[in-house]
This record gives sequence, structure tokens and C-alpha cells, in this order.
Amino acid sequence: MGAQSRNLHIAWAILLKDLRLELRRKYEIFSMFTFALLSIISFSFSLGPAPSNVLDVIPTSLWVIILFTGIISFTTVFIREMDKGTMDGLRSLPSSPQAIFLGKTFYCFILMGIVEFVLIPASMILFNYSFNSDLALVILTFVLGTFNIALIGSMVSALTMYSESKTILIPLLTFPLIPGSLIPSVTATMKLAFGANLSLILPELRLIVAFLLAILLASWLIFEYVFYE
Amino acid sequence: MRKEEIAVEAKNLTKQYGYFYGLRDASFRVYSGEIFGLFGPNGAGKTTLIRLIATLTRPTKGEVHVFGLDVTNEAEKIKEVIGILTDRSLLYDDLTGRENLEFYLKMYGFSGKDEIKRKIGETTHLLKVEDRLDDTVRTLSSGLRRRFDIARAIIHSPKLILLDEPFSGLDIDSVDILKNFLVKRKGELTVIVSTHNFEVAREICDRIAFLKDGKIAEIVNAENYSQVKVEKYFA
Repeated sequence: MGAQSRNLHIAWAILLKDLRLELRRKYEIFSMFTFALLSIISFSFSLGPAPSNVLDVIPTSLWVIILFTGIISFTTVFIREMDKGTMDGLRSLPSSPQAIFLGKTFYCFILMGIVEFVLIPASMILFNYSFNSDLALVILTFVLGTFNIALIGSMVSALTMYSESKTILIPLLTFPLIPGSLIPSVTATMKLAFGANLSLILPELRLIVAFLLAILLASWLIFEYVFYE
Repeated sequence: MRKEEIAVEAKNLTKQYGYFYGLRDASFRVYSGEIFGLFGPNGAGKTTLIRLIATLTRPTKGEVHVFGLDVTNEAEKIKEVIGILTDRSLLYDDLTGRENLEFYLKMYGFSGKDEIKRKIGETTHLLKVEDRLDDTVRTLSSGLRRRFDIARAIIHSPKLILLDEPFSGLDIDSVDILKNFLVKRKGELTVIVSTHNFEVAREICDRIAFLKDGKIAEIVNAENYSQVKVEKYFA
């Protein structure tokens, strides 16, 4: 097995293990669903069923909810392994730390994706709007934006796993890193709601991808040191 | 015992936590096929030494080689040939014993379903836990959980096993099962085992290193165990 396929094999095993654990307990996913749905319902109460500027307001609201929902999974992704003592089990394995990090990032991404799968249609029903663009572009924007947030969150979760005040540190460290991904994601979603095509959202997509690559590189370099204390 | 092959060699191995020395200038060799004991009171440096050999932490000074591989630069290769049992369980509470073992086997690069099934079957039979494979770890007694932990440590057939206080929390049956396993595999496997139970250590170990305050005070061969004054290490 080549190094790359072995890393993917490990990331896949980590993802499956974490999803299986989550399905057994359902703590995070339940909290995330509750938070996301209550937030979108609160927005609908505050703004009314059909606000005049719905296509300006909803993309922003959606991404803010996605971000805060993600923070629920970031607070546990590495910290649970630390608290339970299983982090030593991961450290004792002949696998690259980056592969483990990738598996954890995929886990956060999948949890956030599951929530979005319900959140976005719920917002469309509550606010009576739809994306007037190609569905593939909408999915691509949400996938890239969500993966970016999951990546940042996993890195911050890893950086704070030894700290006693991690619940304060995670949001504090996440926020300075988020605008680079959040702003283009919101803008692209807003444009898509107004019916933009690929060429119109390409600048935002480029920004999202560039930021994603920068964060990926940073986490690749940092995580090994964090992983081994 | 094949005395010619060195499994572990440490030279002036030191681990500092701030101003505190977890281990200071430890130098020793463990030969292939040997059961090497680490004996001493709590805080003597046994766990630190095991964690250094297992590449779970890096030395502040000095060096340690495992089968000729350097723990600092060749950690990944070392991890392929070692199995470790730490004082804390490394099993996931909400998974079954089988799911835990499958996960660890996959992480060691095993992918064939039949091979995974065979490995799990053999190892759990050895530790007499095969009938509890599908129970969630959370529901197991501490003794059974420990046996599953041992199964996890040895399931990938490592050449070197590092056992940190393996007998603590075990009932008499489990102690016997583990002792029998170690004695049966003597000469075949290299084992480093830490304990503060001298009776158990002298029963299974070929040599014992006595640690106190982060230093190796002496290394004693099996034939000289009766001359050791154990009390002085607890004074």
C-alpha cells in the first residue's frame, strides 16, 4: 500500500470509528440539530415569514448557524480522545498524524453536512425562497465552505486539546481564522440565491479554495507537533 | 533467549518535565526474547521510560533505539513492531470489544476481512475473552476490560510488548492468564513490564531494573533476586 493510500485508509478508519461512536451516543449530532433548528426558527420569528430582503439576510444567517453548529463538534473532536485517554492509542499507531487529522476533519465535515442537509431545506420552507442557480453550484459552495470551517475547527480543537479552558479557547481561536472562509462563502451563497452562474461566483470559489489550501498546509505542519505534546 | 540481538538500547536517557526529572541518565539494554522488568514505587520513572520506548513522548536528552531504530527519527517504523499497554485503557467505551480490535487492526494496516477475523479469534481465545467480543466495553468488568486492552496491545503480533502495570486491577484468573501468556511466549517475544509487585516480577522476568527517583539504581539477573532488598526502594 502506498503512503497516500495508506493515509487515506487511516483517515477512513478514523472517520468510521468516530461516526460509529457518534451513532451510539448521539450527543453531538443531537445538540447540533437542536441548535441549528432552533436558530433558524428564531430567525424566522425575528424576521417574519417573508422579509423583503430575504435573499440578502438568509445566506448570512445560514453560514452563521453553520459556523456555530460546527463549534459544537470542534469542542469534542480531539478533546474526547484526550479526556478518555484514547489519544495515547492513536499516538501508539504507526500512522502519520496528518492522516489522523484528516480523519477527524472529515468527521466534523460529515456531522456539519448532515445538519446542513436538514437546515437548508428548513430555511427554504420557513422563508419561502429558493436558490435560482444550478444545484451543483449550490452544493459545491456549501461543500467547500463547510470543509473549510471543519478544517479550521479541527486545527483549533487540536491546538487547544491540552488546555483546561478549551471551551473558551476554541471560539476565541476560531473567529480570527474564520472570515477568510466565511465572507466568500456568504457572498457566493448570496449570489447563488439571486441566480448567479459559475463565472459570477468564481472569484469567491477561488478565495475559498486558496484559504482552504493555506489552512490545510498550516495544519499539516503544525499538527505533528501538537499531536506528540 | 537470543542474547546476541539487542531489542532496546538506551543511553543516558533523560526526560524532564519543566524542572522535574521524570527519568535521569538511564542506560540499559534489553535483549531479544527477554522479559525485562521495571520495578519501583510510584513516581520512580517506570511509566516515563515505557512512554519513551513507545515513542509516545520524546527524550529531553540521550537516546533510545528499538531494534536499531531511533525513537526520535524513526518513530513510525518502531510503532509497527511494538505493542503497548498503558495504565489507562485505550479502548473506546461505546464500541464493542470486536469493533475496538477491528479498528486497531485496520490502523495497523490490516485490511482483509478473513485476516482480521482470524487475528481477533486467535488473540481473544488466548486471553479467554472470545465469548464477550460483542459486548460494549463500557459494560465489561475492569478485569475483562484489561484483558481486551492486552488483546489490543498484542493483536498485530508485535516483536516488543511494553506493559505498564499490567497486573493492576486484574482478578486472580486474569493475572494467571496474562502470566501464562507471557511465560509461554518467552524467547519468542521481547517484553518490558513495569510493576510495583515484586513477587509477580520475580516470577516472570529474566532481569529486573530497579528504579528510584527517576534513576535506574541496579539491574539484577533472575538468579540474584533473593539478594535484593526491595524495601529500600519504598523507603
